Amino acid sequence: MTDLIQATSVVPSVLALAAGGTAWRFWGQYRRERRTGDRLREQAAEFAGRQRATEDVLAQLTNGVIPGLGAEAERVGTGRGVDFALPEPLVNTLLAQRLTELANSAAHTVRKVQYDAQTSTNTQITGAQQAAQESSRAAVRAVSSAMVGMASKLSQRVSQGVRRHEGDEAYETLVGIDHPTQQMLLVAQNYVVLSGGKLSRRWPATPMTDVVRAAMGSIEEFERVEHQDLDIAVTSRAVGPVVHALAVLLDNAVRYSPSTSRVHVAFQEGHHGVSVIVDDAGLRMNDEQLLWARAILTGAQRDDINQLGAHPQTGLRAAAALAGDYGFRIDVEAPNPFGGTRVYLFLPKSLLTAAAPPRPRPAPAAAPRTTASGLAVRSRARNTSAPAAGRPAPSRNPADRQDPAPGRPAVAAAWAAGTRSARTQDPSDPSTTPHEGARP
Amino acid sequence: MSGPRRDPDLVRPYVRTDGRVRAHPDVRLETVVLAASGPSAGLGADARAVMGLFDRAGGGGLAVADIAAALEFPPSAVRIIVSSLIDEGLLTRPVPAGAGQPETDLLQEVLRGLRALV
Repeated sequence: MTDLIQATSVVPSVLALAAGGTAWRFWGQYRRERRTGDRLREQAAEFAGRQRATEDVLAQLTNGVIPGLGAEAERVGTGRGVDFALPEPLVNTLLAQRLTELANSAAHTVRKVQYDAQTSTNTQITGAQQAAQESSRAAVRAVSSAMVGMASKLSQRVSQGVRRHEGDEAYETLVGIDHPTQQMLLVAQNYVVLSGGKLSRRWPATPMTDVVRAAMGSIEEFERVEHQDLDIAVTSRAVGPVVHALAVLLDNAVRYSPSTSRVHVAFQEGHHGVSVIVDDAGLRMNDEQLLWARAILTGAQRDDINQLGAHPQTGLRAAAALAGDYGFRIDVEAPNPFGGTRVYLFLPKSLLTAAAPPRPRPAPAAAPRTTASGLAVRSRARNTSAPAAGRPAPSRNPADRQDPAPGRPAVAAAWAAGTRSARTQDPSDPSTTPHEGARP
Repeated sequence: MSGPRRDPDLVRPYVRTDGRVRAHPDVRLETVVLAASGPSAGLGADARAVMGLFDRAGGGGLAVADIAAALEFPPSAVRIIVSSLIDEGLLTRPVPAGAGQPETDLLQEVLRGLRALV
């Protein structure tokens, strides 16, 4: 019985123990699992946070940064860099690093594209500008060269005409045509030079005196120019440019001084060359004009034909360009002793030769004229009317002489040749025989 | 010599004559002029070139055409230059125009005679 009692009292306690132990174990297990669950939930929350942050950053990139870069690419100069807010969960993560790299790379690409586009646009603009300038320059050159060609042909014709026709009226008419023609040549040549062309007319080496007088031929009121004489010659290559530059300077001097005043041209021989000094008594240039003129004339400021403005001072610019190309120098100062402006044109020794080429002797000069029988025929036809008004001489003895009547260049040349040959045939009595015949 | 396409006049004729366009009517191409002793200071380049020819001519006279041919100037311009040199007293004409000139017939006779001789 006691055993039973004992047994009945032991069994529940064992059972209770077992139950307690089991319950303890389950409780612990439960607590462990609950901790794990909490951790997992925390991790899930963290991951969700990170994901939201990632989405947030991606949204920033797609809605803000990338379109911003696109806008920057389209509109040059809106220089916004890559700038987006990195949320707390992504700080110091690989993802953040990669995203930043991605954004920077996109920005770099955009900038590169932008730079390339800009460069190519600039290249295109520069190219278009150059093409436009080149074509306008070519147009100016074409027109002015054509004008120079026609005017110099006209000039040649006048020279021939002045030699062919001897009457005063013919001379007056031809000279009246010639003077404006030379002025036109000067203007046209200015534009040829400024558009990058060359002076087309060639001249032999010429003494300074004649260089100045050649320049005088191209200006209005050349009678007001007073010049010294100098026999030192300008080399053939430089004659045209120097004459042109000097004509421009004389034109300026005559134009901007009172019509009653004189323009003086003097020469100064130096060790390194010859200076031509042009003095006028005009209004002296003010300091600003003087600076401008000096900048132009010394070649410090060389403007393109497209930059001349509304009132182009083509002459001075052309003179300066010629000076630069051919190696002479032009400078200006004011006031001079007359209260006006003084211009120097310095010719270095390389552009000078010691003396002018010798003038042709009378005999060889006369010879070619006598052979020009074609000229004589034509001038006879034209000349019969002109001298008939002035004097009766040419109409005599047309029958038994094949020489034309006196008063014409061909006859005169024949006369010259005749007297010349007579003189050379009879050296003991030079040059008297034909003239004795003319005396009473 | 200069070819047909080259302009012979770098210095234009009106510059040589200083803008004058009229010569004395009796200074023609065949007119013979002599150098006279006048003040030659201050002469222009062309006037000096003309007077230089007379120095070489050894005291003889020169026809206007001679001068034009020697200097290669346009004859009309030389007529004007010579006219002004006559005005300045540096050149003279040995024959007053129209005074005591032989008849044309006589000259023709002389010419025929000369041709017969040659």
